[in-house]
This record gives sequence, structure tokens and C-alpha cells, in this order.
Amino acid sequence: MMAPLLSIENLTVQSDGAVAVDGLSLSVAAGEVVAVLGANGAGKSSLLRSIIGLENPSAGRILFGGRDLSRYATHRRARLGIGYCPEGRRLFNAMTIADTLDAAGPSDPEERIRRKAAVHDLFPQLVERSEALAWQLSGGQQQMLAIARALMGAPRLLLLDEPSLGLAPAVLGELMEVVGKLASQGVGVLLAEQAAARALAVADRVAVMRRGRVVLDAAADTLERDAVAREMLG
Amino acid sequence: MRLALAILGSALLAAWGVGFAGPYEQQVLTIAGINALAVLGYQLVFGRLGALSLAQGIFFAVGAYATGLLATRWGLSFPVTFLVSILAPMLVALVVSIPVLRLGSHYFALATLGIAQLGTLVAVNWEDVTGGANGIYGVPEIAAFGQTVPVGSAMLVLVWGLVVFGVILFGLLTQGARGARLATLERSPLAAGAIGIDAGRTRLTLFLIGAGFAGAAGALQAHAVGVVSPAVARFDVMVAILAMAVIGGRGSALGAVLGAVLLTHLPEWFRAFESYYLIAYGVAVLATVILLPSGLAGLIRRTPARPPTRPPNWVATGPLAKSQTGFARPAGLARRPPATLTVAGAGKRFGGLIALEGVDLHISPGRIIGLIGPNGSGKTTLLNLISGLERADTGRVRLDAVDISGLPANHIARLGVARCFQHPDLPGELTAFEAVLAATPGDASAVDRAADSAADRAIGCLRELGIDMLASRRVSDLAAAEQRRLEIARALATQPRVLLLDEPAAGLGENERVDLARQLRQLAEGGLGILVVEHTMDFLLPLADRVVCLVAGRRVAEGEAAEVVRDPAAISAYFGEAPA
Amino acid sequence: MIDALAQLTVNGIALGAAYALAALGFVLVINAVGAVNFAHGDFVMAGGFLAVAISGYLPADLELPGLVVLPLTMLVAAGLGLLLSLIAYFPLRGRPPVSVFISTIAVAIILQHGTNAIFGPAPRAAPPVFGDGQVDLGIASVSMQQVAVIVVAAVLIGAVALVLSRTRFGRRLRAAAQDPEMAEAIGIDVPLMIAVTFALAISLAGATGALLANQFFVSPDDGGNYMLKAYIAVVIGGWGRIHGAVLGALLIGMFEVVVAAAASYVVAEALLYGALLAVLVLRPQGLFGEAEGRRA
Repeated sequence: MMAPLLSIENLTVQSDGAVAVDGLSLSVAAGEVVAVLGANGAGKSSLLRSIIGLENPSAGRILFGGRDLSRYATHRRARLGIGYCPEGRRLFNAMTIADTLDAAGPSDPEERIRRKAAVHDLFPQLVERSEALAWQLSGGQQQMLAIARALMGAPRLLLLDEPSLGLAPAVLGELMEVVGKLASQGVGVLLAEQAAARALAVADRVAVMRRGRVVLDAAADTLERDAVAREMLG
Repeated sequence: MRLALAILGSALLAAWGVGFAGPYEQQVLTIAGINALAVLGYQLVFGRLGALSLAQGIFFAVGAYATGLLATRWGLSFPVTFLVSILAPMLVALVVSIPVLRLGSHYFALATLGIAQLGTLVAVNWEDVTGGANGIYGVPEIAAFGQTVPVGSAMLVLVWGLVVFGVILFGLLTQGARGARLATLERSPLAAGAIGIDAGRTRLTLFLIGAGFAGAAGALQAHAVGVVSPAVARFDVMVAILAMAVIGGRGSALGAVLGAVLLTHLPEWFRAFESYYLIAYGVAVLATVILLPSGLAGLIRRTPARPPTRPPNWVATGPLAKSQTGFARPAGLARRPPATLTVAGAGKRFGGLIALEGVDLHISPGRIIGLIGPNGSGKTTLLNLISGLERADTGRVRLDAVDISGLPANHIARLGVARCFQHPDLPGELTAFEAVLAATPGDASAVDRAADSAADRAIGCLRELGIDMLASRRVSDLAAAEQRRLEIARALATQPRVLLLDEPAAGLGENERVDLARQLRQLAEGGLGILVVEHTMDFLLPLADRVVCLVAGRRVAEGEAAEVVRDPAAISAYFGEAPA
Repeated sequence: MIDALAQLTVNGIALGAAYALAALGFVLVINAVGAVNFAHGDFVMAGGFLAVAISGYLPADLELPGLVVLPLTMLVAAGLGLLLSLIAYFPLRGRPPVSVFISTIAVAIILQHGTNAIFGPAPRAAPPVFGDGQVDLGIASVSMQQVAVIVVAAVLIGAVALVLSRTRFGRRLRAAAQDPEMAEAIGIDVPLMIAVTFALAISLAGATGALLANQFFVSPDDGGNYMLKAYIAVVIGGWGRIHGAVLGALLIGMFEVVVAAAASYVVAEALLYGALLAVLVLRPQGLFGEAEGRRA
């Protein structure tokens, strides 16, 4: 078997003085969707933030494509091929869709145009509103833009933090379809969610987190909703 | 310790000046003392409130001109001119405080700078009164009650005597519970409101007193130099005061004295370099900001307020013993009668997003209500509406019969609604004891004064959460779990009639959560009504008497804890499914 | 009467254009790091003296020395901007914003007294950009230097606006200013962007100084005045709005020229500070600002 795309070994992250991630190990293969489920405060966000380099682990390693990420600053991790969609989207509110995508794109103009076309294929809604400012968009469009922004860097690994937040079920369904499409193109996806139902449907593998630890790690199709619920809520 | 050093140092300097210094050195030392007074006042505003005022220089000028005018034109005596010189800048400060004091940091700096510029224009251009570019000549030496205070030893002693007085006044304003409140206000303004500190009143008081200090310094300067020239209104004066405060040590009286003495003498020591010493001024400020953020005084550790060593008589029983006696409270710990909190039809929108809609809630004394719901369902917004951090669009909040909707946060806190935050919001440089001390009510209206001192009460609250042994530790050195309990202890120090907790168990280990649950249970048994927002079900379910579940701003379920978690609406909400 | 008004308008636009150039650099730094550069006005002053110093090294028979002096001044100023970020901003990253305020006040002191030590307190004049002389427009007469100020300011402000809105680099600069953490997460080297912003901002300040030092002369304690004008322009224009700051600066220049002509310079200054306080109290979002759009 090939080495996994992302491999996390015994990761511990302190956040605001408390242990947010506690000796966690997890891996994501190319083309695989791994859902990290857990209640608020379980440590999902800290896990994702430490992968992109916005939080520093106090112990453990993160390997991406075999490279130890600890020596890479956040912007260099992004350039290595990690895309990140934070909780709450954190768009550049005073910038238009077109500007946002351009800022996130590669420096080669032709390559940038190709990436933009690919992103527009996935999210046709963004084309129509490309001159709208980010804050003027609906919640669903904002989430699409957040994902599109991450995709402009042609990531091999996509980190999604609570994309379902504040979205109507239909919109969420569309987004999850896109996630599936990306995985079929070989992108590894790490999806942190509190809303387990949708995530279960799209995920290949599920890791349930509680208080910084993975308490359950199994293939998605072997799990039942109620079992996941019990583990999540403790 | 640092205050004592400041007083001792001032006295020694004055003694040295009288005994050993020549007339010129005495004059320089006198000016240093005058600067120390102006900087002491500045430390209240810039150091303790953290507000970058750029008007302190102009307050100094107002004091100088007031003395110059009154003494030369009308020949008024020192007691009158000195008093007017202190009051005049305070009056100016009072007038400008109306537009300026509520402004955020960058605006505040600019607004005070604008006022300073106006003052400079007046000083230079209103020639009939200020003498324009020539200034006012012939300001007499100080004379009062038949005594004159000639420039030299006598003036030196008077000035440094006033510095000692100023340091003591500074100490009264910034030590103990008052100091703890100021630190809380500067570091965690939200928490300050939540423990009943009136930010507006505190800011105004210190701004005015700071201006008074500057006015006194300006008056003394006029007497010491005999001239009031428009140079006193130049921005350079402000820059010098700022540099002294930064280099001496922000917020400290010792820093004010050190900075003033050092920077007043700097030009004397570097006389050979002529105007280059001003460059050295700039370099010194830059180096201090980068390398020594707490200035020279920061090299000596601040002495924190000391917890009482004598254990209050009720301590022996301890919290566990207490709970076995049912509702009986320890005699020493004053309480206010618990109250019922009622929320009726609360609604709140942010732009197009409905954060809350028609939410009812009822917290009666002695009950623990759990509030659950997925991320973004409006739990924290509801807490914010109750505690006054945000205003509801619709609905009312009542504490017993009193309608508290729309009151400012600090007012609501003083009425008896205490809350803790999702992330403990505590000033890191204080000790645990001081952090709690800050919340002990400062006015008689809220307290049974006879019962015990503020310090005893603070220790009592720490003990109630089982962390009294941490009293002398710095907040920033505490673990997250300890900080959480400290924040609850601080909330208790306000003598709450109802308590709101936002995710108190987050980040806590297994044993710590068991402890916390037991302590909350005890508080409830003591009669306090508690609202707990929580995600950790194994913590909340055994603890809560009733549970309310919010989804997308609406209440979808309410009842016994065990019922609610089996409620289909609650479960599907947690899993992000469409409501059935 | 018409002539007088036209003349005032021209003078006002020329002064406002120079202020706008200064305010543009000031607001760029505010946006990039959320901190006020209190030394910005002293860099305008330093730009004036740089222009004076550089013109001293040029051959005396050079035609239009100003055309050479201006770009050289901007280049040196850009280097100073880089230096400023290295000594007064980066060591204080992560500390409260007031730290940067104080560190830049310190830099302002150093610049002011350093210039005084090198050049002395006397006012100096830099060479004009397009040469001396007047252009007669019929109803008003414009000096060549006023033309130069307006043209150079328009070109520089236009160029900055174009770069910010139309190039990938400008968009990345704006992204880094709006949310540094997210900008990092999409591959933008934020510290680099900040350093570039400082260089650009101080370069614009240097250009302002070089332009103003011909018509109005320059002396070492001029810095505070320029800083205040830029600061007020940013408040009037709405905190952090680039267009607002430029418009605000034009308004201030116009206001100053008109009131000074009608009453006196002192009255103009006093009214300006009065207006500033009124804006802070009545319209803290600025004259041209609208309620901020919030994400829903």
C-alpha cells in the first residue's frame, strides 16, 4: 500500500492553555474522505489548524507526502498543496469573488486561468456573481467561495472545518457532492463536522473525536448513526 | 514595595539635593520633581487605563498659564493660584471627555492630539491673554501664609514633598481592589462589565485626576522658572512625558519618578552633544519599547495585594462540611437573596440572520438549567442578551420583578446577574486573589458591609471553588481548568443572585469535571439559580435539573435532562438533519 | 471674484493632492498592520530633505533636476520604509497596537532631531519638478510646481489604485491586510507583504516631501503637521478606507486654502481641529463612510 497523503502521529496541541488535541494519530490517503466528527470543543478545529500551521503542536508529528511539516510556515504548507477552509469561512469581505480567487491563485497567469475555470465548473453560481463582494453573498455561496479559494492552490489535501454551519440542507447536499467529486479526482479530504448525518453519507472513513482523542475510527459503511451519536455525545 | 521605593527614593533625592547639590543641580532636580508629578498623572490614564492620551502636555500648559496669569495680573496668592491651576485643566478635561472618552484607541489618541493642537494655537495666538510668543514674565516665587519658598532648597523640598504626596494618592487610587479593577478594565473590558465595573465612570475619574496632576506640575514649573513661555504648550512637552512614562515603566509610580529623574538629567549629562541628546531620547524610547516593555520599574517585580493571613472563623468547616448542613451559609460570607430570572420572547437578528426568536427561559433559585444546542444555535447570544452585552430586538428579561432588559452590562451585574465566558477572560498579570478581589462590590449598596472585608470575601470565594491554595499565583501561570474555576470564583465575589456559565467544563479533565459538578451542585443547594451552556453531555445531564435545547435560535425542546436528549427534534438538530 | 475663487480652487487642489499622497501611504500601513505610523509625517519631512540633499549631488548644469530627484528620493524613502518596519514594527508584532504607536513616536523624534542635527533648523527648498515659472489659465495662474504636484500625485495615486485593484500582487496585499491568518493559509507570505507595504507607504511619503519642499520649503519640525493632516484625512474619510482618505485629504487642502484666504491660517487650523472633533462625535464612520457591511 502507498504511503498515506497525510499522516498524523501522536499529535498534541495546547490551545488557550488547555489540551485541545491529545496524542492523536490519524491518516488520510489520496482520494479518501475522512470525516472527523465530534461535539463542539472536541478539538476538531485545533487539529485542522495545526495541520495548516496556524497552531503549533507541543508534541507529535504531521507528515504530508512524507515531509515533516514542522519546518514549514503556514504559507509554505499552502504552497505544498494543503487547502484550508476555516470554520466561519473567514472570507476577505471587502473583496469580490474574482479578486479573491485571483489572490489565491498561482503566480503563472495561464495556470491561474485554468484553475479558475476548474473552480467555476464545480461552482457555476460563483461565475454569475463574480463581481459581488464576499459579504454580499448568501451563506451557501460564501461557503462555496471559501472552498473555491482553497482549491485555487490546486491542493492535494483539503481541510474543511464545519462547512455545514448555517446552511440549508439542500445547499449542504450540493457541497457534499462537490466533496465527492474532488475525492474522485484524487484529492484527500479531511472534513470536520458536528452535523454527522451528511458527513457520514460522503465519508469513506469516520473518526469520532472526544476531548482531543479519537475514540472511534472505522470505515463509514460499517457504522450506524446511533453508535456515532453515543460516541460523540459521550 | 515599588510604591515604598518611590516614596523613599523621592525623599532621599530631596535630602541629597538640599544637603549636597549646588544651586544649578537643585534647579534641575526641582524640574525633575515637577515632571514626575505630570508623569504620575499620565500613568493613571496611559498606564492604568491603557488609553493613549496626547493631551497631558496641554493640561500641563493650562496649569502653567493659569498660575502665570493669576499671579502676575491679579497678584493672587499661591493657595488660590495653585488650586485654580489644578482645577482649570480638570475642567478642560471634563469638557473634552464628553466627546473623547468613549472613543476607541486610535480615535482617542487623535482626538486628544487635536485638543492639544487647539491649545497650542490658543497659547501662541491669543496674545492679549497669553502674551503670545513672548509668554508671561515675572511669575513670583511661591509665597503663602507669610512664608516665601525661594527657588533652591526650599522649592526643592516643596516639590518633592508634593511628589511624595502624589505617589501616596496614586497608591490609594491604584492599589488593592481598585488596582485589580483597573487591571481588569484594561485587560478584559468585557469581563470588567460582567463583574459590575462602570468603565465610563472609572475612565472619567482617572482622566480628571490625571489632568489635575498635570495642572499642579505646570503651576510649579511657572514658579520655578519664573516664566510661562508658549514652549510649555508645544508637543515636545507631551513627548517628554510619554517618554518618561515608557522608559520609567508604564503604570507604575516608581516608573514615573525614575523616568522623570533620568530623562530630565539626560540633557545635562549629554550637554557636550548639544541637540543630539534629543535623538538619544528617541533611541531610548524605541529600545525600551522593544527590549523592556515594562520599563525600568519593571525590573523590580510588582508586589501583589496580599491575601489575608488570618483565616476567617468560618473557614474551618470547608465547603464539603458546609454542604452537609443544607442551606446554611458560612456566617462570614455575605449573600444576597437568590432571585428568579425570567426571559420572555427574546429575539435578536444580526443583519439577515435570525440568532434568536421568541425564546422563553426561567431560572428559579436553587435550580440548575442546562442550555444545549448545536454550534451557532444562539446559546451565547442568549447569554449576551441576559447579561447586557447585546440588546435584544424583542422580549424582556426580568430579575424577580425588576425589568433589566436593555440596561448596561455593569448595571445588570451589580443587580446580581453574574456570568462567565466561553474562554476565561482574566487579566494575566494579576494573582488569582486579585482577580477575585476586583469583583468584590465596591459600594455599600450591594453589600452587607459589616459581614466581612473584601479580602476575606475574595478568599472565601476561592475556597468555595477549592482553589484558595492558588491565591498568590499569577493568573497567567494557571492551567486552563484552574482559570475556569477562578472565573467562577470571581463571579461569586459579585454576590450573584443568579449565575450564567458558558461551557464551564470545556478543556477540563475527568476528575476536574466531577469536582466542578459537585461545586456547582453545592452552589445550587445554597439557593443560587444557575444556567449552564454545555456540550459535554456526561457532565451536564447528571447535573442539570432541566435542559433547554436551542436550534437555529428557537427553543425546540425543554424538560428533564433525560427526556430532552431522547427528543427526536433535539437529536436531529445535533446531527444537522432537517427538522422533521 | 470668479478669478479669486478659481485661484483658490487651484491652490486648494494642489495642496490637497499633496496631502492625499501623504494620506495614501498612512492609510496603507493602517490597513496592513492595524497600527498608526506616528512617524509618517516625519518621513514626509525627511523626503523633503532627501530631495534637498540629492539635488546637491547632481551636476549643476542638469536641466530639470527635479525629474531625477523625485524618483531617487522615492527609492531611498522606500529603503527607509523597509528599515522602519524592521526596527519599529516587526519586533513588536503581537504586542498591543499602542506599542507600535509609541515606537513610531520614537522614530519621529529620531527623524526630527536627526535631520536637525544634519541640516540645521533653517527651512530649505528642493528643486522644482518641471522647473519654475507660471502657467496662465486666464482666470487663474498656476505655478509649474503646482502643476507638477497635481500631476505627480494623480499619477502615483492612480498607479497605486490600479496595482491594488487590478493585479494579483495588489489583491494579495489586500487579502493580507484583511485577514493575515487566512492570507497565510492560502499561500501568501504575509510578513513580506507588510514589509512591501511599509516600503511603498514611506516611498509615497518621500514623494510628498520632495514635492512640497519646493513651494513651501521644509524644516525639521514640519513632520507633526503632515502626520496630523494624514491622520485627520483618514478619520474624515472613514477609518481604513483608501478612497476615503484620498478624498478627505483633498477636502482638507481645499478647506485650509479657502479659510486661510477668508480669515487666517490660524483660524483654518483651529476650525480643522474643531471639525475633526465634530466628525469623531457625530460621524465616527467618517464623512464618506457607510455602515460597514457585515457577513451574515
